[in-house]
Amino acid sequence: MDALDNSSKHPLRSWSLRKRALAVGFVTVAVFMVLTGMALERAFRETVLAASQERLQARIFMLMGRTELDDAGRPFVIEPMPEPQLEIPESGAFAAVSNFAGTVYWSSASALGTVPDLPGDGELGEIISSTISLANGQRMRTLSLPVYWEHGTDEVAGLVFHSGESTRFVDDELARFRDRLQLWLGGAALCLLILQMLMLVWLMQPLRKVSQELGLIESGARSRLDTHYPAELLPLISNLNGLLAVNRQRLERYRHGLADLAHSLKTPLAVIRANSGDQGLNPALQEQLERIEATIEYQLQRAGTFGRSPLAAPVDLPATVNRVIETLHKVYHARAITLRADIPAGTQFVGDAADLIEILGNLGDNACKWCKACVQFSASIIGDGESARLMLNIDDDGPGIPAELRARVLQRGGRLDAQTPGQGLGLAMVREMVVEVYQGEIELTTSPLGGARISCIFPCT
Amino acid sequence: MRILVVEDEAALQQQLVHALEQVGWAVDRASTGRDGLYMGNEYPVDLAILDLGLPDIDGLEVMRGWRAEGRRFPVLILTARGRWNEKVTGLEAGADDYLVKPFHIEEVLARVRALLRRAGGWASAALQAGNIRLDTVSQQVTVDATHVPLTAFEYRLLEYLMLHAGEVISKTTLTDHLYAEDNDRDSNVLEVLIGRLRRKLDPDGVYQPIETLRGRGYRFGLERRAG
Repeated sequence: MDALDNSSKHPLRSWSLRKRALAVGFVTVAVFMVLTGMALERAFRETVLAASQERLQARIFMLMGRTELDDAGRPFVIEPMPEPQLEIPESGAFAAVSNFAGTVYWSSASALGTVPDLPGDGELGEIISSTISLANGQRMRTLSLPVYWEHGTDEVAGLVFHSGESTRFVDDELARFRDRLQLWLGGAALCLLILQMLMLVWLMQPLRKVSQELGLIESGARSRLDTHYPAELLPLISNLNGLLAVNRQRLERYRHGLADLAHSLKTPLAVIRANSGDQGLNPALQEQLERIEATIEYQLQRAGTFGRSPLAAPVDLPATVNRVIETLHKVYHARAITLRADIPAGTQFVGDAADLIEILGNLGDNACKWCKACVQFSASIIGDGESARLMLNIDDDGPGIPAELRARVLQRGGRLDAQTPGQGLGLAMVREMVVEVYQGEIELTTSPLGGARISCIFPCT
Repeated sequence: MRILVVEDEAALQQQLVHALEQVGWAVDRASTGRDGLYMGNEYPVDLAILDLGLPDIDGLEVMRGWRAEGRRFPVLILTARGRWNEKVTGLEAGADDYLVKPFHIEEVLARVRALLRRAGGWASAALQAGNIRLDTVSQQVTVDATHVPLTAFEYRLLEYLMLHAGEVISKTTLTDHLYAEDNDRDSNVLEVLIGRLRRKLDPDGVYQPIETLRGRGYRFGLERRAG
């Protein structure tokens, strides 16, 4: 209940370890990649801008080197310019010479005569950097350098040298860089995530093994966990093994205790029985004595039942049936009963050999008690693959069991006669073993021999 | 008949011995597997009642020990565990029948009688040879349908001879099987008893049921009849 409440309040708590690790990994990689991308882009942008600045500065100095003043004091620029871009219209490169008032004396061919508003005034000798909007909607970064230009002997003219380039130079370069950055960072992130998943699978492997082994232990195939585990898990494994061992010992002790108790009660009971001798016990006492005996027998049988363990080798059914038949022959020697077995060679019973002998012995003994002259064991496999089941029939030619009494016969202590020697627990015990221990079925029907047929159906896997 | 009881539980052993002696059989008792093994191998035992849960040697080992020594007498095993696995193993190891504790003492006697008859080759509870009929359950002997009163020892003697009808049985064997180890034995007494038994069964000396083979012993000579 508690766990359910918690998980409904905090859905994250029910997340598997794998989910958690993947989520953490994903977020980490995403944040790391975004931050890395931003930092790299910023650094690159600065580099590109600095390069642009240098380029523009160099152009200004180049422009200054090629500028002369005519006699009227008007500047002219010696063409052609060494930078071809300045000669190509709309190339984005730009250079111009103006006076402080902004009157343009000269502009590069690339400007096609359209000269933007340029900054005119400023500190002499200081480069002014600005970004201006052009008529065609583009933007241009410009550098302007106001200087006094000497001409003649003592005359000076105030000139401003401009150089500029479209912002798209920088933008294009940045865009190219960003594309490439995204490609690389995305690829790296993908690689990291895949690596992380692989790592996770590898990390989770021991845990998966633990859970598999626990499954095997649950089904009885193994008794303890392997100890080939990573050091971090070993304390857990050894604790689990300890717990399993304690449990097993407790079960064993319980089972032995029960068996010992039952055994130690049996001999005194035998003595009481024998002492009651000729005159016999008081009937009420006798009845109680029988109940005690029946209970002891029942508990002993239970204590001795082991059930299936998948790793145990399957039991050879025909051989076991023959052993039981030999025994019954000896026991019922005086009655000359014909005991037959009709079981295909190689038929196997998946379970404990002692349990099988118990089932066969009890059913065979029961059939021998009731039969006139003949008892038959037969078996067949019904169904196939996963649903295959082993059907075991024990037939006799006795009086049979009326349909209305069949259910009662299989119940604990329900026996039809009080005279036939026996504990009266045989069939009930068999029913319990077949149904509860082996998850099978048991049926009482009429035998082709005329008497009772008891069929036990066991799962084959 | 000489019966060996191997049972470690004193009270139960006492009861078994008592009941068997009541019937008139000679009884040897052992409380440990070691003693049981020795007695079974050394004494002329006709049948053994063997508890499987002994303190020192496992009952099955005791029985295997007897069989390994070539001892073929019938063995009735007593077991506290009603597991079929144990019964099957026990009977495979050479036992002839089993009883699960607790049991009625009458059941033990019935099984012992049945085993003794079976060992002698008799099928039913009443042994019939010639005109003599011996009922092992009621311990009645009739000759030509007339009841013949016998003393306990005479009955035991006749029962032994009839169970082994057709076999030559030496005096020693007879005393060995009729007396427990601690009883006095006197072969003269045996001769006297045989003589008395002959007179009771065949007063006119017509049928000669018990033959004397000089120097070899006695033989119950009448032909067995089924029934």
